[in-house]
Amino acid sequence: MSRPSAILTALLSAAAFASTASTADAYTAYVTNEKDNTVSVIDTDKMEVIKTAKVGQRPRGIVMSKDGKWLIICTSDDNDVKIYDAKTLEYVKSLPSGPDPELLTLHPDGRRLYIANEDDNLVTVVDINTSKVITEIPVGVEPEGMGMSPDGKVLVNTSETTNMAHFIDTEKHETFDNVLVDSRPRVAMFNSAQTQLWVSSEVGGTVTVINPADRKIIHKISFEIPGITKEAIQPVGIRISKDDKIAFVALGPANRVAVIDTSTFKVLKYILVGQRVWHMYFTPDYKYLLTTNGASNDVSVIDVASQKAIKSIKVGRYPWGVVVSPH
Amino acid sequence: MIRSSVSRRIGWAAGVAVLASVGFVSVPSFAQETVPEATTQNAIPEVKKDEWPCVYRKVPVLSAATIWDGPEIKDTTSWHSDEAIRKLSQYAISRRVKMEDVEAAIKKFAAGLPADKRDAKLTELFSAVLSRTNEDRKTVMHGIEKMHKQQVVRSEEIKKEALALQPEEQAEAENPEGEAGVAGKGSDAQEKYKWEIRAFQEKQANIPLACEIPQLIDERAGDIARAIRAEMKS
Repeated sequence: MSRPSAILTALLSAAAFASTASTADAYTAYVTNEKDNTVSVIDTDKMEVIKTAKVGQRPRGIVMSKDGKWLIICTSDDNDVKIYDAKTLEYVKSLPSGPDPELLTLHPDGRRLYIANEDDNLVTVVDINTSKVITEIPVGVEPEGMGMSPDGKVLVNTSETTNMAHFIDTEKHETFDNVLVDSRPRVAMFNSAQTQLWVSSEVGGTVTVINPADRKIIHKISFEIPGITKEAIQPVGIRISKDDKIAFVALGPANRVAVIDTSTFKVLKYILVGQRVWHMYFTPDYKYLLTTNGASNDVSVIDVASQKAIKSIKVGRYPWGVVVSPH
Repeated sequence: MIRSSVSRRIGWAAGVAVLASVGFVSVPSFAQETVPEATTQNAIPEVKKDEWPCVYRKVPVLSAATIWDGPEIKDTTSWHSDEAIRKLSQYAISRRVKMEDVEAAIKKFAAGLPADKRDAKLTELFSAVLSRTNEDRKTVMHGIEKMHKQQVVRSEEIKKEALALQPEEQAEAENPEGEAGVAGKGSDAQEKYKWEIRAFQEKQANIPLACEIPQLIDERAGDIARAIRAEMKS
């Protein structure tokens, strides 16, 4: 290579690097819109919807494949789970599930998908590569929440009517313990150290924190917001910060996200977001937390450092689930 | 005659199925067998017998706390004496006005306020928006309940008509070649009945659409509250 062309190549490489660096925190978020049967694609850098794509009927729970190539969506009214190409939003294939799949979680092995089927009291385990059902695990009535331990050894499923958190061994695919929680448990979430499992109870209005090692209840968190009735405080979505120090709990029609200290279990703050906030997801850098607000048809962006809602992004009707691409 | 009898029978059974689908009557087993699949599927969405027909819970009043994290509203009537706030709040809640135009109007209003009164006046503006929103919601919710009540009354009438037609149609079904009922009278009654069912179904289909309006009003109020808060320091 001649000297001038080597310099040019170096300059181009530097320009390319600079360009990448400037957009390093630009992630892509995907939001399922339950009523529109669509997915809204959000550029988290521009904080705007850049694409809306039709998917199956009544899309709710959404996860991404480990490599970020596939979007895996519970299309509840189609009674299956559909996979879409994350880049093009084109349909790839369907996975079998039981009727009315609602929430799902992917095992850290990137292969086993656990699906809660609300109508038949089963958790279906599917291999996403072969599209074959591995097994079905009987659980309580109306299974919903699906929390996977970071090491992949334990799955916790919550059943809305039985009001239990079911601890499932992911090797044997058997339930080995059940913990009674408050009414209508919706979401189960482990912290990264696996020392706490948080379970939200929508009707009970509480969050139960359980020690996963002995399945004993460590603490039960209640919420009080001036001017908001007790009935309107309905905890659903839970996310825990990267350092495990702060938990965020979405409070449904209270239109607030509670910020909680995970060592004292005290509520530090209530952040006003859109209406009927249910599910949430961090950007991979943990800088922002995105919330789906089903009644106001928007996504609120919470700045994690300042603990403030800094933006509302209008999406489709009845936004439900949200996931952010790891890339 | 057979054809006429069958079509009449389906008409009656379908009517009962329509009412059954909204929980007003139970379908007799013989009628269930004769109602074609397509007819039952075309029957209207579920409607409850109580006063509120919408899927979601009725929230009679939108409270400030659900959409507002600004200063407490102590005086809910002071805005009446401020013409600019009266006009802007009316403009803001009109769903015909684009939200970006509302945001621009709020920004302009805020810019024209003296710094020491800015947050207090913007809080007053929110109070006006909330008050007007609740008036709007009340009217809409009352309309939905009235529509639903009329449907309940109409369904009772249809139910009576269905029962009046039943013996004649059953007699025809049991003896298709017979001359049960007076042909002219029967077909007029059935024709009227058919139209009433159709009108009932059309009105019923509008209820879920009407049910979306309070949600749209709340969504709008939340958007306005956010736009006001964006101009405040406290």
